[in-house]
Amino acid sequence: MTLAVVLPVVGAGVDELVGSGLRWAFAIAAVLGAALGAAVCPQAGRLWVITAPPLVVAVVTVVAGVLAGTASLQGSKGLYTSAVRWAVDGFPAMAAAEVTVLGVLAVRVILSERGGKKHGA
Amino acid sequence: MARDDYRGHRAAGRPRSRRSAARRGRVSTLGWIGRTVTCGMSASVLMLSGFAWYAYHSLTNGLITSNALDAIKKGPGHLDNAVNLLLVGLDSRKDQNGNDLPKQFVQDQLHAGSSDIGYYNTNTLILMHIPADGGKVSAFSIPRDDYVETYNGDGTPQGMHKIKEAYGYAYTAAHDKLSAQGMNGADLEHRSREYGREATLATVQNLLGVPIDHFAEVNLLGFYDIAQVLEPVQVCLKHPVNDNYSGADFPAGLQNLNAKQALAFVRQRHGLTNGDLDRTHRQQAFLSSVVHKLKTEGIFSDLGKMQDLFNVVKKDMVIDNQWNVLDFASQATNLTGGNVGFNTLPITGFATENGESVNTVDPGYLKQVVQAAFSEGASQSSSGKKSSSEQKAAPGTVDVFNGSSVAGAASNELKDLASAGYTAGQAANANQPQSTTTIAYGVGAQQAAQQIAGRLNTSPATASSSVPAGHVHITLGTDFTAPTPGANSSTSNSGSSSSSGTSGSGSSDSRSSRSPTPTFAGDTVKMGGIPCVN
Repeated sequence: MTLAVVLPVVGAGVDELVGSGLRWAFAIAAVLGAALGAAVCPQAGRLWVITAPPLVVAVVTVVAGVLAGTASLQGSKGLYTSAVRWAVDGFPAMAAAEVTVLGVLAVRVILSERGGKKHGA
Repeated sequence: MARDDYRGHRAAGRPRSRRSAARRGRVSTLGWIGRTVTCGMSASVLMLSGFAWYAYHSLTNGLITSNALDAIKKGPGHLDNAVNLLLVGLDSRKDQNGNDLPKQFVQDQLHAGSSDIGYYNTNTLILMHIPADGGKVSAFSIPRDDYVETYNGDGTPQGMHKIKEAYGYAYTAAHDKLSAQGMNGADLEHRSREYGREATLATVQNLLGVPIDHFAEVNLLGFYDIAQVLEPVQVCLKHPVNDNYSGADFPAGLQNLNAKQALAFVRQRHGLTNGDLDRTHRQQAFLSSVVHKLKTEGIFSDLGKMQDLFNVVKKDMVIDNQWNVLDFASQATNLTGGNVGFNTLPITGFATENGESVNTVDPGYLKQVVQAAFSEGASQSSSGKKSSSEQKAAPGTVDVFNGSSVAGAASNELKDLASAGYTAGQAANANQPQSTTTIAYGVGAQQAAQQIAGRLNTSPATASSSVPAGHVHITLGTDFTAPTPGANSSTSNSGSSSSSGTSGSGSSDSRSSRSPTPTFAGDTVKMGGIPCVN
């Protein structure tokens, strides 16, 4: 589960080092982290895995923006512009990670139902 | 049996069981609240981000972009993260695909004669400098008739022409060449215009010696359409005007203009005291009025109105392909804050070349003025000062090396710089003579180096890993001449405006003399309201 958080952080670090802002490395890492989290989580933790991608991606995007110095936090205008920028930059990774989580969990549910039927038979 | 034992155990421990059940209930309630809050936050973040992403892309998708900036990337580099933006107003009566605009529309609404007039002249050239971390935005109008060396995008000179003609010369050459290769229609027009844009960018960059990071090009129709979205736009005139050429017929004082009148307002030059130079101030004042309107009417924060504006922008405006609207928005918050000063670059006089009236200019002096003003913007943004009548020396230890043929030039220059406020380092002979004076700086001395480059009128200072941190290395070349003793140093443009319209203060021989107080053509137009102009 830790990987689900660490991977997006590493992806963001790679993107910022390359200097292109948050792009492919971040998005791919977020999707991988989400897939791993969804694949190994216990049944009781599924809700947390479903809710995690938007929050994790948002936090990583904001922290990366602040650390990279690409965000202006001066005044309400600067903050507003930065917030829009974070939302625009983070949404593709966020949406992709969320879709991945739902997809992996759906596969797990289908597989467990099939397994149950086989046992029943 | 086991069940009985269990029941017996439960019966015996009933009070404790009740307490733990109550605790489990509280934990369960807290867990339920926690899950609900987390779900709500997660859904909100996802939806808000999705909305922002959709709004941003629906605004920006479809913008007409140009690759012309790629052609001038070998030019002077940046010393900080400031942004230089060139606004280009094209006097073309054609649409983006090269089709003539409807004749009746051109005559009635644009008041602009036939489609043969104007050709591809860049009648408006405004270079804006937006400092990296706030601070004063400097903007310079370049008079369209300035007679300068114009260049193609590949760096080859076109010859001496009016600066407005660089676009047209490159466009025509490319049009003929591509047409001969069989290209035609809209594709031919688009490709030929790219050459025109490259030429304009290269010419301005060469003339002023500063990099251009972004540009935006709008033609007559684009201006008209944008003005139509924004109308009425309030402007202010010092005197009444009535000009048949442009169609400008306005009383003195504040007044609201529709799109047709707005075009006449920014195009009028006949009947104005300083002719074309006053026209540049009209354009500056109009920009100020538009920004004032956008701000006071809340259009910047109104997505619907912004979308209307962007729909026009997408149709009629061309921007460079590296322009990120969000980057620009975060850099340009000062544009709406009134901390913008417009000036018109000085000319040295008037002349007739090839039967046409032109403005004569001193390119060396123009470089000096622009670089000093841009440097001042950086200085202000780092120090947080709003204005300063004289530029203070930025921190830096100066080492001067004599590669010129003048004996003692290094120590004299070092003394001179020390008296200007820089920390004196060493003065020594250079390893070998060199023809031009160069400036290199180490970590942390960029601003001082930039100031000194402006002061000595050299090419822009360059970062060097061989220069110690906090040091500036000046290597004097054979082009170096000793500064005039006692010359006063000032690189400020604050309050230094003149209505003379010409400046005789700079000359190309003034290299290494102290930067004179810039004398601009006409008064400074300050953004942040509705300035009154001639």
